[in-house]
Amino acid sequence: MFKKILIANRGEIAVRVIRACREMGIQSVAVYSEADRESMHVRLADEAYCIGPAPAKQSYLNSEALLTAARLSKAEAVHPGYGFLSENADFAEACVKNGLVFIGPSAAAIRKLGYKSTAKTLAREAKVPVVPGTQGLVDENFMKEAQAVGFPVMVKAASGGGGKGLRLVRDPKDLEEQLKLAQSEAQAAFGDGSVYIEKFIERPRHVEIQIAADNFGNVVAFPERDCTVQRRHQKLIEESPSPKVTPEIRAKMQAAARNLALAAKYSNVGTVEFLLGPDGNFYFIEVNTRLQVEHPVTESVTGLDLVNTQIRLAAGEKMPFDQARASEIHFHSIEHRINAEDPEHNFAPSPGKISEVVLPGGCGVRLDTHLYAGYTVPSFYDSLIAKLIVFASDRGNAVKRSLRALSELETSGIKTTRDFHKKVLSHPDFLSGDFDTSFVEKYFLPNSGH
Amino acid sequence: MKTEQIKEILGWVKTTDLTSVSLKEKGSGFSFTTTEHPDESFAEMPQAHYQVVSAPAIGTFRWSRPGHPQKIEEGNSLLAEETIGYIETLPGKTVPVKVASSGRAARILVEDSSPVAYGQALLFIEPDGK
Repeated sequence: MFKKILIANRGEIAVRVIRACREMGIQSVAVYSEADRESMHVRLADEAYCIGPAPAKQSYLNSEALLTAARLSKAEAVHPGYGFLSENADFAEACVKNGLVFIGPSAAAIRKLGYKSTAKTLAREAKVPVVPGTQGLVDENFMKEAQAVGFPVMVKAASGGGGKGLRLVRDPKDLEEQLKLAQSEAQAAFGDGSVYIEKFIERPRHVEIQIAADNFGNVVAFPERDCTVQRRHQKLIEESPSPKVTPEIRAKMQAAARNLALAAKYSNVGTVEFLLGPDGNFYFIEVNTRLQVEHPVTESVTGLDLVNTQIRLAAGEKMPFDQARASEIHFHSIEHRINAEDPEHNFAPSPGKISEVVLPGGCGVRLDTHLYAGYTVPSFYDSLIAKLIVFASDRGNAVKRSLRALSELETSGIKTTRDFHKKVLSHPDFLSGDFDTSFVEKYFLPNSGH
Repeated sequence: MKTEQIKEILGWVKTTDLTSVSLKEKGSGFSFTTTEHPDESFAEMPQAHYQVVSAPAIGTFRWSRPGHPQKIEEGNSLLAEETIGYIETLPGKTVPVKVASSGRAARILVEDSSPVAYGQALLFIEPDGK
């Protein structure tokens, strides 16, 4: 096992990984930007290095600075967390070249699955159902190809994520204009303007399967996570099991995810994302070749530790449990992403100093956060400040527990999305489980056209 | 400007990441910097008029290229943009450390081959004309 791991990330996920390291008897090395000097992960780690100024490009996205910190600290492995360089194949490769273990899949697997259109090709080969769409990137025959797919269609960025470079086109006459907009948005956001077209699935749910794979060909798939509550393609609430996934659908989804992982010679943890239609058919969307923000939902449902598993797999150990164990559902779990945002003002970021904070607790409540009283939420990064995860015997009790825990959470000095979560959990559609990915736009966003 | 108004502005600054604020209005005003998180190395700074040369990258600090003697000693005169040392990041990669303005090397804070973090103070300079 590793003696020392560098965590190339910040915020709650850096804290999460440091905690796993401590439980495993592994020394942790934190890195931080000048804006994060007072952050919790710096306090909790065994060692900490300032790697650059506040802008992420010069700190958490600066591969050279991260690898230098690993060299100075004599770390043996790098945990990339999520976001930043976690899905960057070049970084994974650079770690290996510098004698470090990258805690994640190989650079080759990231390249195969991280690029959406190549991932879809691989999915088709592995007989995983995919949304009908163009086989590769679109060229001058886009209209003919879109007609073959059938309107409405979505134009999507090949190296996209987070909702950037996405365009819904219902009417063929709008296609050319929307295609150009998507291309320029993708170019600006990812430095790559390539796009592809796929059929728009009406009233879908976003359901994903967590997988874990070792270096010996063993792949397990966990129970699904339902991430249908989204705002502009950003997940806000995740739960498991999904209120709309039957044991038959679950088994099919798990088999599809395992087949894809085997086809990609995947190792370590990852997530295969699907759209689930109202008819029970599901379609592969993409793979996240890293740990997900919402991984605690799976941990709460199964009682397994995914970060511990990740580290053990990266160290070359065999899969510590089998498919039957990975499939066990012990609880219903819900995760709330608490963001430093103002829901009353279109979710505008609300950075600033937190003068006081009261964190919820009690039976079936887990809080993953880097907050403390006196902490200043910097304006440079993601607005996620806490993840409230609850678990209970069934969905009804999990909802009650969420509402109880949310009302205990108090932060003064900044605006948060806490009350938004309470409203969502009290909505009849959420309570019935009958909603789709347009749920938040439909009921909670002013001027959204509904 | 009234003290109460300044207090209000100070309260606002504390909720931001700003480290210094200046305001001039109708010929009067104020300027302040936050001292909430002083870098320990700054505590050694002898006088407010000294300038600090800090590490532009994380790595191993070298006063000179391998095999060459250390060029800078306390009391030496330095020219603006002069390279006073290097930071080795990864094998074969270095980042030069330059002086922003001319002056005298007042106090050296790091030894050759020390690991340094980004922003760590390396040298105090007494700028020319002080």
